[in-house]
Amino acid sequence: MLNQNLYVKEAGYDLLSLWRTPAFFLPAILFPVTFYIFFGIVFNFSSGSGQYMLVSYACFGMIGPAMFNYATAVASDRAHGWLTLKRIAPMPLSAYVAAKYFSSLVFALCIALILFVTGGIFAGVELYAWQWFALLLVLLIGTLPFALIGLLLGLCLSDKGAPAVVNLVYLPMAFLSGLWVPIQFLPETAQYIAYGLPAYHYAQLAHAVIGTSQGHSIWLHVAALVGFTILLTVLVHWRYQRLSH
Amino acid sequence: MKKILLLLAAVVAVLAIVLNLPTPKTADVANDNSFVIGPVNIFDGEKWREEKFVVVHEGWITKLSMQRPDLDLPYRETQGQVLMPGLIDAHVHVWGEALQQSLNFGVTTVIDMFGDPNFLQQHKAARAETRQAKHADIFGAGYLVTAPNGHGTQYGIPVPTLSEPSAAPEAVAKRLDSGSDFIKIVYTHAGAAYQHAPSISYTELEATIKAAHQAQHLAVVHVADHASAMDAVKAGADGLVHGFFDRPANDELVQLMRSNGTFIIPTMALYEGMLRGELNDDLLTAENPELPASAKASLNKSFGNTRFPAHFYNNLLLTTERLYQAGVPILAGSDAPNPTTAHGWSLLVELDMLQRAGLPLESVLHAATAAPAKAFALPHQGRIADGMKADLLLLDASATTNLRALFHPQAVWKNGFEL
Repeated sequence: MLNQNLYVKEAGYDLLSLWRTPAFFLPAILFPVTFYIFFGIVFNFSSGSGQYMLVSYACFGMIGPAMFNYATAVASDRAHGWLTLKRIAPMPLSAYVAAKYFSSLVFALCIALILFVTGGIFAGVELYAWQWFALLLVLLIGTLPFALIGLLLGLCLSDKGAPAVVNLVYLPMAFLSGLWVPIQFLPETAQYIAYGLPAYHYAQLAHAVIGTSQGHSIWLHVAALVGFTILLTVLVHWRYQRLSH
Repeated sequence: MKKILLLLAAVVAVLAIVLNLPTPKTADVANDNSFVIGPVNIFDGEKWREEKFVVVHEGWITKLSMQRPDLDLPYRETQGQVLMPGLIDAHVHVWGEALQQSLNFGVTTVIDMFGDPNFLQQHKAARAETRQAKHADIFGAGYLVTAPNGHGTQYGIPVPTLSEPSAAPEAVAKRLDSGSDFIKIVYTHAGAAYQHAPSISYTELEATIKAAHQAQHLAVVHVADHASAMDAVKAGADGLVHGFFDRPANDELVQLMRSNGTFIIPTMALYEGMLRGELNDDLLTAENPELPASAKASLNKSFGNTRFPAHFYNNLLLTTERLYQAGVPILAGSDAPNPTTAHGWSLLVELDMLQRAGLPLESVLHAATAAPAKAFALPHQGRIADGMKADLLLLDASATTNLRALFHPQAVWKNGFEL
């Protein structure tokens, strides 16, 4: 009973603290939207149709905030001693992690909806209602591995280094997974690298909703993402144990 | 309590947004792609018919008749306009919104001569269906066959290249596996007048064509000069996908193509843009169509500082005329969206060029309908006949003598649904 309340409270306050830093969340929401408008709509030189570009840039737009939210917040909290404070408080640490995931989901939901509306109005994207909902679900649930990457980075990096390293991981991974230039236009070696990137599997699942995936079984992608999630959970746990000693 | 209300409000907001996002408009299938149309002047892809009425049932043409059939179907009453099959652009390169743009100009089927195999695979199923569609059907070559560093490798697309004749059967098999409808090969005669990028050898060309034929598929060849065209025809090509202008086709080539049944897609619209660059402006001024931004962009691109002798343009027209007179099948293809061309629009420009080369109106219409359908064995496209898809154009009655009527179709049907 008490536990449940704690989770809810922590989640609520995390969201509130996010809401109170518009300097963070406003650019963080506007960045993927601007990127999509520029490279998905106005300067769309590549082979993507309106639908295809929306899905690609939606994936791109969801991964970033998931990683950043965790990485920068956790690194910063560590640096300022918040994390230590929370650990000695009665609140279980999992509440902290879960709360951050909840607020990153709310974030992601806002971004996804803004992207959908932008795509619908300015790029003429038309999908059946079930496709819109399925896409939303896939996009949201799939942020989990990336949130964990962010968490791991946040636990390992200083608060100064975190944003730079996150970008170093985020942007090449997104590019090599075919989120900017569609994967079929990248050289063949890139295709092989992509299989090892969670962003690729995430994007393929999203594309499967509108029928523009590369044709591999969706279970392959689900398994890959589940595998990454488990691996990352282990790594996070291990790193956290090391931090505690 | 407040939290629960907040949560509820959030859920309602999300639902409200998502449920109001745009969805594709679906028509009432049962009635909308079944109808009777007439009286019309029917060009069936080969010739003008005596029948005046066409019956379409769920997107398929089922009957042509002299009198209005007594059927319980919606009746589209016309006043003797021309009804012809939707146009086929026999040489394009498709990506992005190309299929939609093509359809807006009345091009209901395109034949892609080098494109993404995945894109082709995704659109294959639609070819045999009559679901409502806002885009043209596509048949395609997937990746072309070319030499290392040859033409086609300069676009950053990972095209596998051919380095020896014995590798030809495997190259063909790989393409057919990835969904190619036919094999497209790039070839330049060694020591040709116009030095293109590195090319496969004549032996490799022969081997690839042979492998394609053994696998029961067509082999078509990109050439850019007379000598290469001659080689390609001798090597057994089923068709040449470009014309050439370094010299007019000589008798030997013309006769060889005629006896081999080799077809040609002269792509004169493209060459006009390269050699003179006037026709687009003339037609745009005369016909004043509505062009989307992407069409304007590709039309405005140029080939850069190329200076060709003036008589090359005449060679181009002369070759097409000679081949036509000899009975070689002429197919209309635009090579869109290369510089100075645009999807859909440039096929109409190509038809204008075919007329300038001396083809009579019916042969021009044939070149964009039944001729490519026959050359590429398209099962349901290019003709108005029982069993064909209802991809149709309704044109002003003057279309019996005036090709320009094609620039202003009164109605376009794709899969029996009116656009």
